[in-house]
Amino acid sequence: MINDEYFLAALRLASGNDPIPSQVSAAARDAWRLRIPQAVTAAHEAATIRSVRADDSSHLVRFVAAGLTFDLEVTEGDGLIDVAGHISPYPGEGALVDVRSPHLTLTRRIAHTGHFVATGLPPGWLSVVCHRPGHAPIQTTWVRIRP
Amino acid sequence: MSATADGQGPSDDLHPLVRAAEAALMRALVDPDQALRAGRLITEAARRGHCPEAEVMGLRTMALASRELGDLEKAELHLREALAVRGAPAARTAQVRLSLVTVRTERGHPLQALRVAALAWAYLCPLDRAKLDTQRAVALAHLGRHQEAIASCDRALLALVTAPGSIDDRRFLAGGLLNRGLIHAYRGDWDAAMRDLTACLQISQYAGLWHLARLAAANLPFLAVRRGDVAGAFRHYRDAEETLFGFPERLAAMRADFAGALLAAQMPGEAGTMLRMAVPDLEASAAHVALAEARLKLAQVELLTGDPHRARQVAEQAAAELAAQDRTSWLPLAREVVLRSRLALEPVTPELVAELIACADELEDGFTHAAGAAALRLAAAEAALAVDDHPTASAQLARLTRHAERRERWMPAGTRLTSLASEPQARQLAQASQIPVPVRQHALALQAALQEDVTGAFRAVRDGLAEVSGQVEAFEDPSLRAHAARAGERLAAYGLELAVRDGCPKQVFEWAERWRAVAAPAHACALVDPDRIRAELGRGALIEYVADKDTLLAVLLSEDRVLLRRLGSLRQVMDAIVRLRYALRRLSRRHDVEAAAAELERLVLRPMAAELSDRPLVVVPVGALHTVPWGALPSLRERPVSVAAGAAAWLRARTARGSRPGGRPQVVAAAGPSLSHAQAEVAHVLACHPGGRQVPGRVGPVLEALATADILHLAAHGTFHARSPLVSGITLEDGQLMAYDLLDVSRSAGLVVLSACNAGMSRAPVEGAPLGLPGTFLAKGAACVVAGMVPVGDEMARAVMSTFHELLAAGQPPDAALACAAAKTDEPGFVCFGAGNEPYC
Repeated sequence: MINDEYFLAALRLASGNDPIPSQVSAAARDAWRLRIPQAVTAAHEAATIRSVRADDSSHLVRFVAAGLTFDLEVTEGDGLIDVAGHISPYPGEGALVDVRSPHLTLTRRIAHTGHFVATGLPPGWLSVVCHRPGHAPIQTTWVRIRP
Repeated sequence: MSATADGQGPSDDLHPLVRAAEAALMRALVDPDQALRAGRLITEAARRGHCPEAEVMGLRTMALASRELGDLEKAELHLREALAVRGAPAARTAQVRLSLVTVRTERGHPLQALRVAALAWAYLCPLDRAKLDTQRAVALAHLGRHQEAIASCDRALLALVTAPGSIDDRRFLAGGLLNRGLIHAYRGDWDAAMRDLTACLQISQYAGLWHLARLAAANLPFLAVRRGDVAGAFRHYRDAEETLFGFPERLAAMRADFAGALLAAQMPGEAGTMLRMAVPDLEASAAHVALAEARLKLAQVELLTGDPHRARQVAEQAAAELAAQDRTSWLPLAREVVLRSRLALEPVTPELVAELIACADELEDGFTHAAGAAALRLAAAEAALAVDDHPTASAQLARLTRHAERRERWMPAGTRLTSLASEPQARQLAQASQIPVPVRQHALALQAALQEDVTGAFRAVRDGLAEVSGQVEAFEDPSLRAHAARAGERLAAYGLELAVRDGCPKQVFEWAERWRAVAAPAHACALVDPDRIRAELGRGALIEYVADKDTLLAVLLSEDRVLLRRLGSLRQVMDAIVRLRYALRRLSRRHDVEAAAAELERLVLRPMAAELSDRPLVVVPVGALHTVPWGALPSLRERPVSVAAGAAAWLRARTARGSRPGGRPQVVAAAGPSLSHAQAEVAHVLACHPGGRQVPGRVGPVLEALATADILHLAAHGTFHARSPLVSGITLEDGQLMAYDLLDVSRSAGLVVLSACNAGMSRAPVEGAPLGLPGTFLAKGAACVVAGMVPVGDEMARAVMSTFHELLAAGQPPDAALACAAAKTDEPGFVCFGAGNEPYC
């Protein structure tokens, strides 16, 4: 039984007989590093696009939390993805966004129009965090961008 | 004798169950579902009737049927059951082993398969031995023992050709041809491969072996790419996708093979699309051999398309799988991906340099990877330079250039001695000749530069690019040539880097154009003198953008000067472009678009504003600048702008338009489906041009019109695929008119108007060869293409195009007509490509 095997392995790990495999702890540390303390999480909302002469290949996602709306649009280049976004209303002077993939974080200023851009990210999991001075950070849930 | 005397043939002696089993075995290939049921019934009956021979045959039938249905695990299970049956004739058991050879190979254990084959050999009749040979060949090929594999096939085919011709004999004959064809393909002998596969296809079609016919057909896309026919490859691919529907493992294997060819043709984006479809299906069907190879290719793709982190993970997984299959000759290839990923992710250390050199040595020892070894050695030398280890760098460069120097030494005729070189020396020489030209020349240039001999470095790069140009000349298809030219890309970048370091504008222009001419001769066949361009420009100006590593530069040519400007970080420019495109696409508030456009203008035009004043403009983009809707930039509003792949390309487009003696241009227009305003737009376009005609919005009539008309106007949906620009297209009633459909047309209308979203988008795998619809039309002889760069509203497109054609009919050239129409309607989403400054009416 596969469950018994897992159980036994867990017991052996717990009793200290077996060391935790290094890639397991590395993965755990990686995941832990992605956590942002006290962040408010913005939930995914449906968004639509106007009628145009295209089957638009770009991905549009919208997140809403704490009165802020994040519109993200992801386009593909040769293998890499570009993220353009808009936060409304404008979160104010000194606000920054982090556009994050599991292994790469790009920090960008937000223009007065609320727009921001990050280019050259690998496709895969993606999340955006907005840092405002004096407020808790707001992070979007992780979305998977498939190439 | 007695049997014959009794009037019975030998087969009549057989147990009726055995006879039934023989029939079922034959069905396994033609109708696996039915054979599976029959096999089960026979096995059960044989067990009840204690007939081990039929039992073995029934189980083997089930195994063969399972394999045809793509379930290798079950196939092996049935074969193992059959081997466990006691009292079966040795020949039957050996036949089971024969089938097991195939399955073990396909499941990733070629070495074991060869052992199984050795066990079977003694008990097989000559014909079955031939059949076994066709299967051994596959295992041998997987182990990289290609010569033995071919010999095994040759031997088998000789026996099988003269075989009585039962369906099983035909199957092995066709299968043997298939295998030999594939091995020929592995060894790069495309003609022999094509010959064998065509023969296989004919025999299997004639014998009704549809599976084998499909397999042969499924290899055609791969072979077509290898023979330099990308358009044909995608056509074969579509056919094969249809014929293999319902056979996920086969379909996946086909995609993986096709991906390998695309990768070798330097089209990693397209290859990645195929591999990401193939890998999960190969995993699901437990086809371990194909899976490990596909994963290695995927790792290479991830690295080439800019995700070293993922590349490293995938390569490590592939290495583990290959090692588990004893395929040691493949391991250095996986290690190369890991090391190159580390080179992209980590700072260079002396340890990393040492590992790179060690891996290059291993690849070199593997013979088949000599070209890859040389490229890696060059990377190692550059890495050594990065840590200031000049002795190591020089030693590695010397290994790459030794042969070149040897060849250059002059020797009077008749004095050359017969080579008395020892075998290791001869081997070294043979390997040196396998060093790819761009790598060798790059090494020579680096060596010269290390000795501060700039002239020598330029010469080495120039000679190298000339040879690359000669090598890729064989490809007629512009896209394939562009991709093949990628092999010379790093060498060209090095030449440009040297020119930029020198800082002479004319030299930078010359090097930028030199590379563009190698990449896309359809656009630009020969180098042009900057003074010739200036003369042709008249009052206008041309800006050629150039990327030197992460910096964007521009060369401006106008009637009174040639100047070079350093514009700033490429990353910053890319961000600005993405922001502008986002604002336009989302139809944000006007203010947002203007802010984004002003920012981009500040980066790419402002430093040349004084020289540019209000001149008409020809833009030669680089990289992401191929996606800019130039008309949106404030200072370019109402200004005629043409976008060209290169200065020479612009000149060629200018001369492409054969003027029509006296008459009005022939105008053809068509509308695509599911748009409310396309029909009205077409009516208006035709009203502007008396004598114009409408054709149905289907692929055939539109392609026909393209060959006869002077102006072709299409109002339809458009799509752009950044990863596979060749499948970008215009949606017509009966499907997509894709860029690759255009590769076969003999001529193009002089002016092509694509009133569709994103139809003007391109991706340039190498500078000078933008792939996408405009580039394809221009390569086919169009002088000018007008197309949308962003999503454009249906009604808005009609408004712009109505004004555009009114102005065109009034005698304005396309670039001016478009600039004016865009300003009037306030829709900057269309761009004019090629040479747009000649009036059509």
